[in-house]
Amino acid sequence: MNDTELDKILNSWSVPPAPPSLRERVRAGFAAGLGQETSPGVLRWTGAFVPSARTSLVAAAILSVGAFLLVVTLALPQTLGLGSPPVRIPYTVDSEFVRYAEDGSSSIEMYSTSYSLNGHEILLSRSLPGNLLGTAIGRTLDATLPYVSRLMSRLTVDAALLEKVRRAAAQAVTVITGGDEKTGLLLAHYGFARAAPGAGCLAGPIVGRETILNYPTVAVQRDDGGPQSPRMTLWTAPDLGCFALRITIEEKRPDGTFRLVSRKQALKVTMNR
Amino acid sequence: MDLVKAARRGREHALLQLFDEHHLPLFRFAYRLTGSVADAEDIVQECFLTLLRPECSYDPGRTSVRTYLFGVVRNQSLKQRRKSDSASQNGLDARHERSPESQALRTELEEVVARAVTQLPETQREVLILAHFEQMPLAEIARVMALELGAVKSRLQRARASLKETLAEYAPGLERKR
Repeated sequence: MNDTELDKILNSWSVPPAPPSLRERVRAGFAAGLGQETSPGVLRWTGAFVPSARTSLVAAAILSVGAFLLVVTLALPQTLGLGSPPVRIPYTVDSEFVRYAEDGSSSIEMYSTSYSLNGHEILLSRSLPGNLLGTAIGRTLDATLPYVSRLMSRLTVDAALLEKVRRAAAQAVTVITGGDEKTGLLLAHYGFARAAPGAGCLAGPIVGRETILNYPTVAVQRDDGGPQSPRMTLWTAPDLGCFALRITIEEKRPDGTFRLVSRKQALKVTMNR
Repeated sequence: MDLVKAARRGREHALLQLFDEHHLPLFRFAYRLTGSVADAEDIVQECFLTLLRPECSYDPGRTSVRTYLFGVVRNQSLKQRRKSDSASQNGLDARHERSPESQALRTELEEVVARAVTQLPETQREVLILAHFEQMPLAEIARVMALELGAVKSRLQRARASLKETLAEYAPGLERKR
């Protein structure tokens, strides 16, 4: 075989066209990345108080319609800080957060007390059972990191982008989904697009309706559309300002089935009349 | 202003301009190295985001952005390959398994060529893909792969010789062996 013949044969190896989604991914990654190491194809559920990760994911939310994403503290309050003006808290919800291991065993990761203000869950307190030191560190981080985060964001993120993030986050419903996987010390928050007026709390496919602790809820299932994307199901109560009384997070196995990874469950609702 | 510099300063249009200029050959290169559209997509995305990171070693004084990006695709493909290899004992075979649909879309000859190129030793394969399919000058390939020009030439020669042997029965005009 001569060179020309070889070239001719080699040329029969064609390449499929680059998917049109690639440009959008790079664009979203640009808003999201700004120096962050990304895991291609999968959005990791990072601790919400890591400023750059948080900023990036919400920035990506602006660009990724239908995705569920972590929320920035720079955009919304997530704890009542020392300098916060007095707020009348209409109710509080005590919740437990359970994490499930590969073998199906479960452990309680955290208890929290929180409520929802304009669709945004505000943490009042939390504890890590059997971990006094972790509880103390977690509470300290809750109290201080939002300020550090806001300061860092102002210094490192473009003002126009920050404004976009704020606007997008203000139109979202945000929830606390638990602590970070490794230590449980960093809280994870996610934001979701609101449903159209009169259509419940969250945009997305409704997979069920259930009454939890005497409050009617609508269950909506969301994922970010990736082939290995985790799936989140949220039971939100319109009567409680769209508070999520139950949240499950499932990861997708290679065979396409889902494994329950964590679950948030409301234990008690206390009305402050 | 330099597009990379502008992108690092938050100018989205600069990054998208870079993307529009370079993504097609990078995607082809990544696809031919990995045999997977999904992997190639991930690699190309990562490749452009790498440019924005503070630790990015791109130096316009030393190399062109195209050469740098090809180098990133190469490194990412190697990483991907190692991951796949550790995930599966049949790493190479598993990675290049295709869905029935994508297999059906390929001609037999195309499949044979892809397999023959895939079976080349890694550095020979990379050199061949860049030289033949991307028509990249040998000196630039040497920069992408951090090799001496002589090493690039010899690997290309070995790759072509090996392919001539593997694909001999498919030479135009020859009766195919059954």
